[in-house]
Amino acid sequence: MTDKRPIRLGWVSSISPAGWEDDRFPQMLDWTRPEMYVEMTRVLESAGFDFVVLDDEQLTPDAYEGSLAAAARRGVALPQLDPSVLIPMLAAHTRSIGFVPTLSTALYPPFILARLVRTLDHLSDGRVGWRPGTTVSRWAARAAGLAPPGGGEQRERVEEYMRVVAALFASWEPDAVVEDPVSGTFADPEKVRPIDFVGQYYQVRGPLNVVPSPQYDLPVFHTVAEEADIGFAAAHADVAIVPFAPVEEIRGVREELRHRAVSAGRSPDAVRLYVGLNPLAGRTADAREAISRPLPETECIEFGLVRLSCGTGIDLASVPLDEPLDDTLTKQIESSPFGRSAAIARASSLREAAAAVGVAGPYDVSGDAEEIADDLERIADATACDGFVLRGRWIPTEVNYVANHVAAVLRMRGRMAPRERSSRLSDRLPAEPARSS
Amino acid sequence: MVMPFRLALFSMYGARHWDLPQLQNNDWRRAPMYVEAARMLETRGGLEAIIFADGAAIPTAYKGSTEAYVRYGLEGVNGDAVPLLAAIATSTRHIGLMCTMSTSLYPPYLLARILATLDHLSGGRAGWNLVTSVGEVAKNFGADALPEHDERYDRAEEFLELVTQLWDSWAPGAVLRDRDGLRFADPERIRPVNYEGTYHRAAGPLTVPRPPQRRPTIMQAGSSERGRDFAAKNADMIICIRNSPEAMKDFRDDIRERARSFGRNPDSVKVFFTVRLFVGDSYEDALALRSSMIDRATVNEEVGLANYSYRAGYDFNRLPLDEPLPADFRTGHSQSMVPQYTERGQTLTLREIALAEARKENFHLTGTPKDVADGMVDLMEQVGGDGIAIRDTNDPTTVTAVVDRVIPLLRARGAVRSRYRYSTLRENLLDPEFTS
Repeated sequence: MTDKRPIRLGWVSSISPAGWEDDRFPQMLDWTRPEMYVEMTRVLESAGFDFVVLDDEQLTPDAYEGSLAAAARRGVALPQLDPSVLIPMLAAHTRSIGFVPTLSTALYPPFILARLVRTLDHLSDGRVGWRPGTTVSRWAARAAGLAPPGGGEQRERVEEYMRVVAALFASWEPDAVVEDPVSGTFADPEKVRPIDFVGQYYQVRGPLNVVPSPQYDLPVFHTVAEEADIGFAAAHADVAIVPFAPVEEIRGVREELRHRAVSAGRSPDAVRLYVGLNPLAGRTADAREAISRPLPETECIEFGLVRLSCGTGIDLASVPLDEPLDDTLTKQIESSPFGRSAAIARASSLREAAAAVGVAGPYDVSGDAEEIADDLERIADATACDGFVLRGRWIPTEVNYVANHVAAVLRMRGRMAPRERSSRLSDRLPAEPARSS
Repeated sequence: MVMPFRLALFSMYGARHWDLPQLQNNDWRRAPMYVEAARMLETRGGLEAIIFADGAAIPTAYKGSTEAYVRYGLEGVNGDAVPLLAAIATSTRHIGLMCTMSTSLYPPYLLARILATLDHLSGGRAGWNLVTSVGEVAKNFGADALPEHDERYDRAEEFLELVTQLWDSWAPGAVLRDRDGLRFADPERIRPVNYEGTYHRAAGPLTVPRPPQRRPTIMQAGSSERGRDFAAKNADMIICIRNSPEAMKDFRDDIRERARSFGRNPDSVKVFFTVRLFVGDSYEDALALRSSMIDRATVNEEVGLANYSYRAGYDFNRLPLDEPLPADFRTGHSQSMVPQYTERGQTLTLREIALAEARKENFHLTGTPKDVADGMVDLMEQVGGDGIAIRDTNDPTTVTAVVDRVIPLLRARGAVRSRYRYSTLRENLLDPEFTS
């Protein structure tokens, strides 16, 4: 292999107690306090991870048996804290790793969002991006008193939202602030303008009230979960996170992204492609078994069923466990966040699907550090992706293994990017055009 | 025996003081200055809280344009204080973290979730300065104007009721984390709220468990009839700007009476008055410091008119500069902005008001550390107690003068907090033994 481009790594997790049932989750650690997240983020930073995406998963906690009971008992789908509040705490204790909060475009008014993320960029000295949460589950919409989610209109609305945010960022020209104490001129009023945005969904006068931040425009991350996401990512995203899929499929998405980026008036390399992947990483088969099945099998399957229900919004409580899955159900699962998993696709019954989901699955790759590194190299070289966003829980032993073993092997093999680089998040994304095949 | 009182810092995360000499070595956009200030205010000052004002728009109140506000870097040019408070939280343990958030701009569920998260991550130190918003910020939020004054309070009542229910949607004991019984939470104790109001609705529950304080500490600054009722009924803490000890006493007595009429113990509402402190080696030295604050290019009548127009929601460019305000003058937005300069027979001209607004000095104490400390003690004796919100910047020069020169004198007299006995903001705020 002559193509030895660096493999860049990011991490994604939500601020939740995920893994609380696992013996390796330290009893003393309080998931509602910042200490654990700070520690783990420092571990990831030392290992050379470029960013942490803080997820805000859109789930349906009351799908299973039509009530919150099963989800609450197992601590899945709920609770979840707001991602933006943790970021300044992580930033205060790190110096180069970036942060990407997932912020719901349904819940955040665009003005509040623009000023929040630009403030985060100031407070982190330029280490922040953002990931628009463009979908909202029916449960989350109801809980928050929002209109129920709807298809095409929602897309239009989000497109308009992105235009408002971009206009607010641009409402201060990069050199608008002069700060000349002698004349008393803080900023040049000619370079700060109202946006007077009047759209179908939003009316915003502007200008933004936060001065330009170190990155000026912040990197936008977007997960390509369905066809429509490709167009959105091509138009707005700096990083597209494509969930793990067969290599040809990822290459197809990549070509589509490049093509559509050009149609949207951008460079074909404007959208960096990171593969989103959930690794089952452990030194031995026994260690991996302990991670994926920390509880007796029936309990793991119960967990899997509840997680699958909350993820798909379908009540799976009354579906027979051992009969072949019917077409309707298969389609519904396929269109959910779990649906792209090969393990789920292979499942011939609900029991098998639930077992694959379990407490923290489904897993996309499995092995020790060398084997996972082999997989990452193979996928990176075959898809020409820019890197990986690894999904994980905040369990210290798990984070430690991925950071200090998997990433360390990649570094030994010369596949990690050099350490001493700018700490701006935009500078830590690959600048070189991704090589086309 | 002096009457004990409490201290807070009332400040902003914004541009307004960018041209002060003492800020030149500190970047007001970044976290370090504020984090350092909060650490000093906690470990040496024993303050109840650091409070950040907020404006969610660059105004056009003055001459219908953002020009003056942008040119001079005035109110409205500021960051979001919530993430700043989060940065401060990781470097402090006791001091309260209060942000200003508007019930007219945030969706209630979002606000409830953000503040519950801050309360958890800070170990129960989140405070909310509940405002209904002034000025024309609504134009950044899809509306031409904010509702009329009383309707804003109707909406705020509903808003507070809803977010309180959301914070309560996880009952005490809901989180079990029982690994052996494999029960993370008790579903019986997580309840939807199904709130359907005239202005707001949400089914809940919140995705965040019950905050450590249950309800983050609520602060209010309403001064109108309706605002005072709202504050006396709901707030743990009230912040108020008045120009004389007599006016402060009137206000506090009134609030306490109203609190009683709502069936509350008046001691459960702490009233803080904003005071500026100018501390020097001698009176002349302190006066020179005061002059240096005023003697800069961004302190002028135009700045004062722009500030006052913003705060009052009225373009004062329309009124003559050298006459007092018309006797029956009222503005629609913040009804308290006018009486501040007209009550108790004051006859200030608009020019004088504009200069006072530009200087932002209002009620101030100037002198040696001992003069200032004595002045604070006297003020609280006259007012009847509760607290002083020091209105100032976060730069180290200003903060060290207060915590290292004035507060030790107050502490020696048993007037201010000697230590924090609790971990949450509300417990410390209501602790009657705070000077022991």
